Amino acid sequence: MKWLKNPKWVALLFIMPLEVLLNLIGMFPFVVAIYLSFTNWTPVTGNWWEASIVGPQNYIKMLFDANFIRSIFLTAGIVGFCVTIEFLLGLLLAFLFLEDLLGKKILTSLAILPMMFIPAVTGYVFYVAFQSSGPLNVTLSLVLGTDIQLRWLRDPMLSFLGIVITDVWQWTPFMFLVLFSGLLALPPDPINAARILGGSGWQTFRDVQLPMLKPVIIVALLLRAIEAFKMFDIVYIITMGGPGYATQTLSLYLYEEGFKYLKMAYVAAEGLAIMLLVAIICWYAAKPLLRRTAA
Amino acid sequence: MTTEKVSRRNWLEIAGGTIVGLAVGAGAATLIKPPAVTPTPTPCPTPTPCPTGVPEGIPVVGDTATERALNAAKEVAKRDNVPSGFELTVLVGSAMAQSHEDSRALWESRTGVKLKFASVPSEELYDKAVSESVTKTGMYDVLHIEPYMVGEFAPGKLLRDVTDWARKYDPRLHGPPDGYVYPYDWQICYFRNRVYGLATDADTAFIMCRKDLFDDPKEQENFESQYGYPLKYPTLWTEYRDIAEFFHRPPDLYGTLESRDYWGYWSWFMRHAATKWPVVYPWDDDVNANVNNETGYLATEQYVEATKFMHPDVIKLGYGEELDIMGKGKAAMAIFPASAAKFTNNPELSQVVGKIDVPPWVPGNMVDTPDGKKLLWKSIQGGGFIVTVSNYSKYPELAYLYIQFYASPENIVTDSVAAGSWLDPCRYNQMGPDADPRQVKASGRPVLLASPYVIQHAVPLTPLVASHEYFARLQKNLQDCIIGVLSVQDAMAKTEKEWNEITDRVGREEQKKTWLAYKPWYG
Repeated sequence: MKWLKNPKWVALLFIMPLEVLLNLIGMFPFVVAIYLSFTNWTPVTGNWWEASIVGPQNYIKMLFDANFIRSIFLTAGIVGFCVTIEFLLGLLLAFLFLEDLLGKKILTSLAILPMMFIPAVTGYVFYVAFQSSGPLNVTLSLVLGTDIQLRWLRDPMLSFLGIVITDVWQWTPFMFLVLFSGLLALPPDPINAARILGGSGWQTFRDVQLPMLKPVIIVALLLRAIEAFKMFDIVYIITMGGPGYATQTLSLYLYEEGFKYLKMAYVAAEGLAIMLLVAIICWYAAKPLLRRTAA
Repeated sequence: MTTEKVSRRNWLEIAGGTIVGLAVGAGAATLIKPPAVTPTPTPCPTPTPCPTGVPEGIPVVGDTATERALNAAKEVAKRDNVPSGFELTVLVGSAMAQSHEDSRALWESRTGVKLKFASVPSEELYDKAVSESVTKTGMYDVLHIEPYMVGEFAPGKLLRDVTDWARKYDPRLHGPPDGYVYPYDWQICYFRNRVYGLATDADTAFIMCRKDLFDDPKEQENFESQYGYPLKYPTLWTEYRDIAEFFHRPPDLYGTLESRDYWGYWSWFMRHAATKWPVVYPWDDDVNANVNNETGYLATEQYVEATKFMHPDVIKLGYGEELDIMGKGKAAMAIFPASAAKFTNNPELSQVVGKIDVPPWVPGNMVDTPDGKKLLWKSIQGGGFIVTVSNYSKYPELAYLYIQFYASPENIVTDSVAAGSWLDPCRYNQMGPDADPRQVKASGRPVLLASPYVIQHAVPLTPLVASHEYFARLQKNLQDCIIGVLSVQDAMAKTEKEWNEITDRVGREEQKKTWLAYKPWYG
């Protein structure tokens, strides 16, 4: 047992049980999901390990499932709008906070406060705000001087907009924090040199700061896009995917198909397909970062 | 080869992590194996009595269902050596939690068995039941769920067949003076001729009208001059629509209120059933959808038209929020279950106490019959709630005795009048001219007097497997119709397609057994 005297082997021996356990917790459900995706199992028909194998039937079916395809495009639309608006607002805030503001510390705390709320609480607050007699319509009526009765919860487009507004309110601070940190970490010499050489603020930002900030921007956009893609809480509480299917995001769709309609095997197949799709997109999106690292 | 020494700190860290990992792993291993399922007795056709599948020995003592349950529970707890720290766990929707709480003192003092209530939002009861059906943890002894879920979980073995215990301990299932109102005794408590639970609630749709508005001479005069007939409680869906339009004066008053969210399919079924003489079924005998036709279109048109005269957020409003609107006097009419009357009759919560009348009918249609035109109206037995025993409970007989106690004729009034309770009257002693005084005080006489008549005209929500999906698909298509995404015809065509897909997926023969058993209840 000479190898026992080797500290590396001893260390390996001690961490092996935990490694095995973690892999079991992480990998076992994943392997079961792959198995289930080739069956027709539902929770009320018996044990999952006794389910009938149906081959790639679930994968073929999802290609023609209008609800599934609609939820993907809807979610992509929400992600596109939310992440874009959050990025622009976050960048604007980040630049504002680069200046010396009065009460900067308090303002910074206030700026990141929305991010601290539990999404379910945020969802409920905005659900109340979006009621036809709620504070949002009342405020708009006061500002515009006429009675505004926007049907946030009943009109498909307004429901969509309501979800975007809620998400932007809550997660712009995240973008602000990441971009602000990135801007602070930029080396000052190139920026000062650009200014000395007569560059305007916009030119300095576009030609000097933005290229240097690119890796931070990619990371911020990727992280936020992945999180937005999984959006569930606020949609569940504000609209429950309605009216009709107007705001049924992918997460909500999978939840309903799996837990309300018990199509667990089908949802397993859809989940794996989505995971693959997102992984490919993220890999392409992160390529510039990988190229930079290699360089 | 170089070797690195492991420092004492590193060694302690590694050892500590290993111990924690082993402990967690050991704990996880005990959870992986599901507990054994208690086999249920073989179903048998009525009226041949089944052999008793439960051990004898516990005497049946007591003149009432409550006494029999409490006395037996004490003996069962002794026989089964139920430990003193054991808590009988009840999965319950938040709207019913208080009713269990109000029953706790009597149960615990008489039996010595503690209770624990796992309260969740009522809309999530199904999800919890699904989880338990898969995990089989036995964490719930009693499940207080909706009757349409029995079709899902009785075949799936989550719910225990309690027929033998019901025969032994007699929960007063049938007949006056205190049994369940016919036909709810059969519709709710039985599934394929076996008892799977005891009803605690029977959501029957009533029309509730603001008496003060309908009796106002000015309103009467204006209505008649505008519509050409006297203002009265509507007997036709067309009259209902006209009256709703007449009284629709937002934001202070809305014409009517109905559910258009999660439970919105309710009032579609009651319209659909009354579109053709003698009744219209949602499925044919082969469980093919019967909605993509003139009867489906008419029901949907009436459903969508009425929505125009409701609160603008009605698509998202929950039952509690709608009760609040009614309680503030902001609705001229409503189609609600009887539990709404408890809210509107409560001076602490309502500004319309004494102003709500409940006629002993709901709107219908004039339909062609062999004898000419006749009025056809149908209410809906829209689910309600039922207490059931989990097949994975460690002490199933004790759990059964709790549900018999909770749903007994003597205790059910306590459940129904509990603060915030959504439980509607479902036993003979809770309705009619001789209703329990506590029920009368809580619900008011109008709805209790109307109940026996309206219940006889109610069509059931059939507990098919995947009922939840049938209703949810219909509800979403109806919402799409309300917001103009789908036409009436497209909504019904889509519903037909989706329903038929569900039937094919679940198994047509299986669905036929349940559907053909419930079809006669449609009248």
